[in-house]
Amino acid sequence: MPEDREPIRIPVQRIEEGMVLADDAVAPPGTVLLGRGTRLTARHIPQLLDRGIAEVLVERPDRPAEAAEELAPAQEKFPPGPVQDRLDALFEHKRGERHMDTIYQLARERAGRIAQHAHRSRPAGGERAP
Amino acid sequence: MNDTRARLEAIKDLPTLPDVVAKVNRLVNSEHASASDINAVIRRDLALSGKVLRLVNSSFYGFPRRINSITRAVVILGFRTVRNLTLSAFVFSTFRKGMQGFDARAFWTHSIGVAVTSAAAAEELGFSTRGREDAFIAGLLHGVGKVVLCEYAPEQMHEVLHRRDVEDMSLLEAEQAVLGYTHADLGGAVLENWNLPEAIVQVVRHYPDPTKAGQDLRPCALVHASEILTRAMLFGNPGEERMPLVSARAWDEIELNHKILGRIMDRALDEMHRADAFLELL
Repeated sequence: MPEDREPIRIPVQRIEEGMVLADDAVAPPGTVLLGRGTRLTARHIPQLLDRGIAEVLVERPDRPAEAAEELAPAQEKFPPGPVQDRLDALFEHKRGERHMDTIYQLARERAGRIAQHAHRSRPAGGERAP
Repeated sequence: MNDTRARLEAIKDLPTLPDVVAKVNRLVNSEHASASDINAVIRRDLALSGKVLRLVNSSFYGFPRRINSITRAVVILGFRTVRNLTLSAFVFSTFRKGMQGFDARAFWTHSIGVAVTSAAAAEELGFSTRGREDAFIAGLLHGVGKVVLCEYAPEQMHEVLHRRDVEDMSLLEAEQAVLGYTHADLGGAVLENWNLPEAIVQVVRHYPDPTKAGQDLRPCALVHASEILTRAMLFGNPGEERMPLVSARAWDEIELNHKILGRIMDRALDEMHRADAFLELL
């Protein structure tokens, strides 16, 4: 196996559609959440993060030139667009108010980082299934 | 104010603390207790002590070696932090009931965000260790009145949510209209009942409008600001989509400016990734 085909450890936020787990993803205290060989999809990301798993070992993608550093940074995996839309809605009637513009601006500048945990945020409505 | 008090008293059977949590709180308040006294109390409740140790050993605190006993946790983290973790474990496992229009898990996620942001802000603003600990727990419990309403007065809470949506009110306005008091009044009464320190009770009671908080507005102003910053960071959901306005007086009181706010947000965003152990208890 050539060196560049060895599995790589990546942050969960950098999972790409179709990547394959090279080892079990184990949630504390020791339960296997996803088995080795699982083909990953975007839906797995919040599941993993919610269980406290920050990194997984995945097979290297088939595209030969794809080195670990070339995997896009987390910000780009979670396009900040939806976060900016939500911020616009949240501050819609508060723009121009003292201090609110500052908060809005600061949050927009951090949209990429906010997007990384935005899966934990849900609309106000709805009872959660037990 | 007296009206509010009378109406609050109309809610019978405010939630009480379980014996173990109440004893831990009493021991910490007494300031004469030893670490092993606390240990002797908490370990009577296995589930609770397990949860406290999970939080202690989580990446939130990031100790290089495992802390295996409550005694050791008290020695390393201090009495108040262990009391706060015990309270956190208790409220997360007790008040988990939401209702149509109010997602309890999203609410607690928001509350954890406010706790983390309040502690980050306290750090940035140079609060004492005690001030930072109080900021964390006051931030965590700031909205506890909302889940108490879901649990103890579900019909009224249902009516509150209905008014919120139909008349396009803020949650606070809808509570005042339907109940004659707010979740902040109720939260303050509950925490007072639990014999939590007055400093924490005051913050929870007045966080929507810190100008009413008495002599020292700073702790209250800090949670007020952190609550709004947490909404702006889209962490969890407080139970409404509408943003409250910041209190300019509160802002001035803690001398928040663009630069400090940016630093608080950066610190909070870092810390939130480490707060998963709290979310796991939900």
